[in-house]
Amino acid sequence: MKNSHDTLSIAITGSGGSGVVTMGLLFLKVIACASYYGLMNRSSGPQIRGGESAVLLRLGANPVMCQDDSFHLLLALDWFNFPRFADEIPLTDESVVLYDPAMGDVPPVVIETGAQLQEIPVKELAKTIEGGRPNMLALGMLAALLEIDKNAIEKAVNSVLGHKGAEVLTNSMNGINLGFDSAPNTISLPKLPPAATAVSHWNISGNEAAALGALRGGVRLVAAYPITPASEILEWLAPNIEKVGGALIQAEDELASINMVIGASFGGVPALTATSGPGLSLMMEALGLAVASETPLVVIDVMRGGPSTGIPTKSEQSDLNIALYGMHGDAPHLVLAPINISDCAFTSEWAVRLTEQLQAVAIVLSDQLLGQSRAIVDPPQSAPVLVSRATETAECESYERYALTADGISKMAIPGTAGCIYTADGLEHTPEGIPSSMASDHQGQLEKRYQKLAQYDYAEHWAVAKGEGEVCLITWGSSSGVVAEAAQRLRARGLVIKTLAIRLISPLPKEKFRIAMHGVKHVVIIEQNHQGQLYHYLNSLNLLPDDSRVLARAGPLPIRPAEVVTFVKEWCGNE
Amino acid sequence: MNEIVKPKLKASAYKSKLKPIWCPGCGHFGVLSAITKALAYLAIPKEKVALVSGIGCSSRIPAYVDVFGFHGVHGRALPVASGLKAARPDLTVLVAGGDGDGFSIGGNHFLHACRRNLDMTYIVMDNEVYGMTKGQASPTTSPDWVKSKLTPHGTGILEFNPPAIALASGAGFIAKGFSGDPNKLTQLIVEAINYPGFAFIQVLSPCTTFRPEQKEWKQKIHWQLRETTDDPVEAARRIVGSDGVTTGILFKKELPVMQPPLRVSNTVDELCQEFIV
Amino acid sequence: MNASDFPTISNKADFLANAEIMVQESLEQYGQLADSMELHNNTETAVQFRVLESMEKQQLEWIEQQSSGIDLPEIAPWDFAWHCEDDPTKSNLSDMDYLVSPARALSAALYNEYHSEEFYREVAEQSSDPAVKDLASELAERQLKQIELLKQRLRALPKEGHEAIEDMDPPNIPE
Repeated sequence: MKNSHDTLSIAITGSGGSGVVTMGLLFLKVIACASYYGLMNRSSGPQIRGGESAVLLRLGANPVMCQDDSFHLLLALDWFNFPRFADEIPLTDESVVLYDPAMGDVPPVVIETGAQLQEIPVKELAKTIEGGRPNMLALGMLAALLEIDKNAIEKAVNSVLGHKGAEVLTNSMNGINLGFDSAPNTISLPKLPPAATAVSHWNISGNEAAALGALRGGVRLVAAYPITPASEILEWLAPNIEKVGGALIQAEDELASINMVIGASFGGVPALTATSGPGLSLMMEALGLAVASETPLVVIDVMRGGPSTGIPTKSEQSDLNIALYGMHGDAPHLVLAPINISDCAFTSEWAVRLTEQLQAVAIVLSDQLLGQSRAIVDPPQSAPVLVSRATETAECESYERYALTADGISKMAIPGTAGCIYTADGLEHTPEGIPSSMASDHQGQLEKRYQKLAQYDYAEHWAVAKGEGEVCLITWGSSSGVVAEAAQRLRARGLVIKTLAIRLISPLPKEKFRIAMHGVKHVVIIEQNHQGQLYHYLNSLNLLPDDSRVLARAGPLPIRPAEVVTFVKEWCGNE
Repeated sequence: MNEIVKPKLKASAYKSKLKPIWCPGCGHFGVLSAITKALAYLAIPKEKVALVSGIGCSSRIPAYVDVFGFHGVHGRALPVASGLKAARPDLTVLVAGGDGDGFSIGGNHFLHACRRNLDMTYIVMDNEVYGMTKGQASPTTSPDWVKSKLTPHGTGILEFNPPAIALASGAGFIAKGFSGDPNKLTQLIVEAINYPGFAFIQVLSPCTTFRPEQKEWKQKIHWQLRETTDDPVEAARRIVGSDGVTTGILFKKELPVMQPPLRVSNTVDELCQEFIV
Repeated sequence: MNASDFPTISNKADFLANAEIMVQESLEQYGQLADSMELHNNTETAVQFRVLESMEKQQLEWIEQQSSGIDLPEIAPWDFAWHCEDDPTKSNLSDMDYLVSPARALSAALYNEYHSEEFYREVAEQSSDPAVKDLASELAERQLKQIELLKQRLRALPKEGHEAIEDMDPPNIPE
């Protein structure tokens, strides 16, 4: 296997009821307890129940940031509707397929790959013990094949199933042990380098991380309208925001949720909502209102296949355009995108802090691949603590809510404060906030709202740059992990490659970007959408060297490192 | 202890310096008067009141009252007010708007605000027309009004009965007022503010520019003499069987109020425990 | 005017409280109409309302002088008892239009002024308290003088017919 990164990629498939998802979650916990890093994506059919399910895992001794080019191992509990996943589970002639012969024939699409086929009669075996379940046996087999310590297995099982009672625990462990002992010895998988022990890891999904970041940033009011694939953010926040003294309201639609967020923020409470593409479209008018009235807020958009209803359960990076340009009028605002699952916490927290200081609107572009994937990561970093919301507390003769200050930030009176009463307005206004149609007022306020964002120093967090060279790979969001791995492979081949993953897409710190581009003659932009939205954006800012092109591929399939490597090699010729 | 007792403010003190742009003879002047009188009567400190509105002639009102105001976008005043009240239960939240803002584009939010029962007061200034955009039929316009260019044959659709919708949506305080009788309206507003929960007042407020025939309202509208009722079935009879010009509190019943506890029991760090392997 | 709508005026304090409310209401209403007419560029009519406003201000000052040292009862707005058909606080001044002529505006206001005078007159007649009788009579006198002044103003204005007001400008669309 041309896998130069010492990782293992395992796919587990089966139909609903066979316990693929439970197995996957448990297996992730097992490898976590064995101190490995890991990344787990899920895929499923459209049925609410009983449909086909796939869990895609990659593990290693170092942080795992993306899926590999293909899978070392496919474990199929059954073959129900497997062709749906065929594209998502690339196999080669070096792959191994473990399958239960009692659950049907191996589909031609699998046989054609030339993978090694190995029977594992888990259904039969499971019948031999009390409360035996095929998926637990299969789990045990996997653990054995990966040479995972039995202690790690037991620790994981205890933590997940312990609360279900002694009987369930015993049966599960028996099943796992039986599977462990029955693992086929005719196959061998690449051996993982040992994991660094005694490290503190987290098991977290992108959506959970984003939600945590929001609370870390100080959000205490969330308005929610569920939408795939963002609902988990809201679901995690519902009980947890209450514990820290906040509240979550379920709204009747996205028009309500975003306006509720505005109301809470106007009341002085940092507020946020999460949605996906269709919801973000609905929220545009209100976002403009927040910009015009300078009411801080954050919207997290967990992007999915578009346009319109699109492909709700699959990832894509195609909402950059609406995030940048979706508001009518000149409405400057922040657009950020987390770079990996752990970074969802950092970026979400940073966005909240930035919006509070700048009294601005931020759209945080996460995506389904980050949001609904679970990973074993190092504890997520906290964002820098910034200046909190500037509030007016003194009695004013004539309070200027929208005063034209040097940095564009004017003090905001919080309702309940005497002596500085004002009315916030979406209408253009004077510095006192009185509606105005005068040219000087409009110009003044436009400048104020523009400059407060443009002048601000976002420090080093605007992007993550690695390496040096004349060739630079630029990317954003979930594509960052893929690009990082591709760059590593290219460097291993002797190419001198720089990578730039942009976290703050708008306003783009142009000077810092130019510095990052110093010496760069060739740029490849990698992004998961059809039209090359980041590419066109950077071009519109005149920041790219002449020799620039884009690898733009829409969802539903993730971009894989080999794709990027091939593209760059062809592009750069023999450099 | 030396406690400085602030003298009770007069109603005129609750008016801001801005002169309303409403046409002379507009009913909204009466509503503005009633709101300020109610606040003065209840002696609520100005800074503890927030007045939220949408878009339209009636929605201009926050700028004319010397309290915190939020002039949002068309139809979305109720959600803004809801988020505000949920986050800041200490404030007295008033919501104002017109019949178009509230029952057309804002219709969905109206239904759910009635259900949700956060403690706030919603005053709709109903002139059965879209005044600000030059006189189109609104959801409360009768089907045979033919004066709008958009619906030259009249809408042909039966008009909404807002109190009926409020009742069906579960509101616990439903009242009807008339801008031409600001003192009685003041009483309705005082009761509405005191009511713990979502209080809805439909105020008939004539538009002298686009519906000059509404001048006749002051002859027709009469104050309800009966006691208010807390029986929804009786209220339904009164509301649906109403002549449409009877004012008063049509329905009042105490219901469980939504108010998030906003009580801290953990730190954010403690919440991270669930993620640690 | 319905006798049962007449308020109970037991003493001077009651009367002054009621009178103060009535005058305050008129004052605010005239002021509001003056502002409104100015904003809508009907300066001739605005002027009439300003005059009315200042007259009411004087009236109010007088009442406040009479009230000095007296604890006036607080009357809730809806308890304000002048509930007759033509109650000025119910306002037939709602018939105003931004194009209304000064003459029509003054006529409408005069209607109100007459009713105020009637109220004071009634109180003076019906009250058994001599202090109230005196006060009410004096206020009625003052009111009459005010009415005379206004009638003079009205006579001085150009005569006009009863045609409907024709609006040459279509309404504006701000938002």
